[in-house]
Amino acid sequence: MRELELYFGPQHLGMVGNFSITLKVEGDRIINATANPGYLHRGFEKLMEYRTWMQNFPLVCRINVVEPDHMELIYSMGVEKLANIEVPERGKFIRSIYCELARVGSHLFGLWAYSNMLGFDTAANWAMYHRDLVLDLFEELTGARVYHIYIRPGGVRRDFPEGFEDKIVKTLHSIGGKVPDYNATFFENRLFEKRAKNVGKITREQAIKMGAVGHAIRATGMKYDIRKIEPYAAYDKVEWDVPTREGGDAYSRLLAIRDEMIESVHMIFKLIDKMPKKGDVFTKTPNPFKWRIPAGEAYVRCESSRGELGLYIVSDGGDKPYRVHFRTPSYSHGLTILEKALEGESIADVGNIMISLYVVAPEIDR
Amino acid sequence: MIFKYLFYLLIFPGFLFVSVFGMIVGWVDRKVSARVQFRVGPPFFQNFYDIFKLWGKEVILVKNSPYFIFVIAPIIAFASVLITSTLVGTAFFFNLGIGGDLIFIIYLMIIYSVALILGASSTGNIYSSIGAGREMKLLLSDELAFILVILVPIIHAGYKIDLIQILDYQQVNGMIIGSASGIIAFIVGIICLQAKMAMVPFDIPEAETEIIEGTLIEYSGPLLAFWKLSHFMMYVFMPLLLVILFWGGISFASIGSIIAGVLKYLLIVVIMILIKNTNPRVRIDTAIIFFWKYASPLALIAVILAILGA
Repeated sequence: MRELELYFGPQHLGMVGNFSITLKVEGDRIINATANPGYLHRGFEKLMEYRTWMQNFPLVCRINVVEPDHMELIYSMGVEKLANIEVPERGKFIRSIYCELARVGSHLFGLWAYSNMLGFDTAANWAMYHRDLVLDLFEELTGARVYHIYIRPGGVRRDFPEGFEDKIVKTLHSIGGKVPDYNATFFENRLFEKRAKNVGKITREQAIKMGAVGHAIRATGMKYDIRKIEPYAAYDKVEWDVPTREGGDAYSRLLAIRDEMIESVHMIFKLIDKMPKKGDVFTKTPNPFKWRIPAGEAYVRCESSRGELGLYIVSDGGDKPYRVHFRTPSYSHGLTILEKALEGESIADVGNIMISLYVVAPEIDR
Repeated sequence: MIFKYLFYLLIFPGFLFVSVFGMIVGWVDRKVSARVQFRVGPPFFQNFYDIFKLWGKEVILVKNSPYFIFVIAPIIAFASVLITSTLVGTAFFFNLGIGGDLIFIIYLMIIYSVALILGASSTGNIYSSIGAGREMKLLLSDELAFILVILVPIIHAGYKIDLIQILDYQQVNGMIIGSASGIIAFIVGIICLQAKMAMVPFDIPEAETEIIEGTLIEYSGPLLAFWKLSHFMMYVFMPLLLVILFWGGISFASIGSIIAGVLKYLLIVVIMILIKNTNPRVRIDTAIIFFWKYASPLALIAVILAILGA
């Protein structure tokens, strides 16, 4: 059969964003896949070397469009570690709640992308609707819907408004009430099972070797979660579990995402219960225009909704970072694992695998 | 005489009625889907606007491609759909027909798919040719089941291949859906319609997020309008065909029977919309396995039952 080269490009409707894959196909089978990042190379890391510590916040958000909150968090954590700033107790709890909300929103977005890719617009639009409810919460808390710039070195920008906790609980309950509907129409649908099972399968050894993180590695049965291994914010203050799945295929990854979302919601309830009712939410930092951080280097990591997110940050004692480097989950997911997982699959499953791996293009090109 | 036939073909129940009614049913589909998905949905005239807009756009032809096939394919498809809907419509509304029209209808419905395959493969676009390949596989998989389904009322009516004779048989002996073979064939028939109309879960040839509309990717302007209009017209005659074959058509004796006839049609449309909205798209190999392993044997059982008289 004739070999064809298929360009699964950035304009493709099933594409996750500014990203493309060149596929060598024989009939319907993919022989070889090459990922081509670079459509969104704005040089985030380099640009950050020319902005002061505080000015970098609007920039870090843009690295991950779907979920900018963990980007703010990791950068704040890096700066805090360099400058030796302690976060007040209430600030830590608010950070955790905020990040878990962001995780729920991001996973709902992922669910939208995935079911939209499967041509299943019903679950897709439900997920988008529920994500909007989460965004409404963010809007009330921070004034912005997508790029919130809420977390700052030393804590968070401002305290919860009056009665905000109740609002979170109410919104999450209304989303949680829809979980049986999602299960009935999507997660327990035989056609979805047929479509996703044994597709884009990676074993645990391959996953470890190729640097899989987040739900991709948890779907292979490994309890790997930075929130447990190296607790930050308030994750060590409450009891919670790391949901895992065996299988390592798109089906297990999607179910891992669902379980994680449910676990996050439960965690938010527990965090709200345990949160100190009063207290500061941030430690005062010096005037941002005159803020010089002592020379040194730091590596911090956190668990974003896509997996382990790392930041290496160096200061030379000036008012700007000397070097910033991100270790983003999409880098390994979108380049090495995607190429490997696509081999031998059918063209119909390109989007299936790509979106189940949760690739966000700007994370690769930061 | 000729004016009568032209009236049938062009006005009622042909082109004008089927296309306008098809666009309305298409709107119902979009609106119901939107409400199910927590969206608002399009305004009533949206489909009319879309078709009207497409008529005013230019046709972009692919360089170095056989233009003739590219241009003629949507027209052939439209013509076959138009004749099919006229045949089904005259049988449904006026109880008129030509001899052996059921065979003619099966033939014309294949012509539509063949025209789609030809038009898509004439462009040389990779996605388009993948879509054409998928359409071909889908045609090969659903056609057998569909023909077996159609055989059931034929056998019931005493091996008559006319729509009117099947209707007459049902007037005397009760609806075919009331028999065991009838209900099995009816259910398989709805699934076949889903595949013939390329609706989810069988919208494989034009899966947007996989192959970007596949077969229709290079079409634009009036030619695309032909394809879209043909698809809207299918909303009308495909369920009507099932109503005629299994559910005794419509009777204009009283208002109650007219409403019953309309409700039968609407029920099939609603079932199709619900299937569309509660399922993800399947892969082509799953579709082939489904039709050859489950749907066709089930339809065959229905045929055997029909021969045995059940």
